[in-house]
Amino acid sequence: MSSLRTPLSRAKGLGSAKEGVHHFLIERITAAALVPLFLWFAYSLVRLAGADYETVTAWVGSPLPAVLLILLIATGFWHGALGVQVILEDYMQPEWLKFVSIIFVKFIAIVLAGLGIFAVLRIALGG
Amino acid sequence: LPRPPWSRHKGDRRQKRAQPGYCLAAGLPATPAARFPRRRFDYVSAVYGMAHCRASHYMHTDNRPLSPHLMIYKLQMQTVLSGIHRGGGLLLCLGMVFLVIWLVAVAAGPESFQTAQAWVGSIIGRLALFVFTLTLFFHLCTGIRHLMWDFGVGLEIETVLKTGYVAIFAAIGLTLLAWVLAYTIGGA
Repeated sequence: MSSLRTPLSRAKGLGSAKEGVHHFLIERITAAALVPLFLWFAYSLVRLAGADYETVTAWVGSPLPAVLLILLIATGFWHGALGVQVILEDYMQPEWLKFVSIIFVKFIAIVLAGLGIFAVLRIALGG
Repeated sequence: LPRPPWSRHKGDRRQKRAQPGYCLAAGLPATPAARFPRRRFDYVSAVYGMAHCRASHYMHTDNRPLSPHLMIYKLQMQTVLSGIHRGGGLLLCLGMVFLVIWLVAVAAGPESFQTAQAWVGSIIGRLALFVFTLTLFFHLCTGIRHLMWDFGVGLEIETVLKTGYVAIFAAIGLTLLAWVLAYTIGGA
């Protein structure tokens, strides 16, 4: 069975990393997950409008909202970081700056997601 | 010359001059340097002292097909909605930052919660929250459209235009519904 690759391509030894669609798929999967999460979140905000401190902490602290909030923060920042990565890949000009800014955005996203999740856990577990 | 499909209207100055040797964007005559550009961005400023004429704006003397440049391309709903979807995604990242700030304020205790609520309750806070709500519902609706396309559904141009209008009106409707409900059952 002869290969369809050119001799030069074979000699270079580079090829598909088999990860090409990973970013695309995760972007779509997180998007699909965020649809119900954000509809729930918008509904909750409507219910919580004008609520006092006790009501808000009781809401964040109850099991289902706490878990859904954590999922919302994690999935939201994941989806957001992937989206910003695409924008940077499209428009950021020098190659090194593109690379650095994507890493930077991902760091920021992880830090913020960690902060948000920690805040929810602290409210829920009463730190 | 027949009117190219991407030209904005009939009496377009750019259209009248859409012939070899003229700048498509500005309708100015090109120079030999523009007709035979050596660099990718061959700016022509010698004659008119302007830097807005780029090599890609000039019709080439041979009959190679030119892709319509953004400057002379008629705006279409697909382009606009795609751009707003992307920009809105960027704006929602900022919204997520504010969500984290708000959660941290709630976690920090009643005093910081009061400060956060005062910020959210102010005119600017409410305006920002409204913009974030609208952006969220818009990104949600156009995002569902994008997911549809990924499954190969609704890719015909008429359907794309139709779902585009549905997305716009659904986003505005959902935003207004959420705010009306927030002021009635939420008591904001």
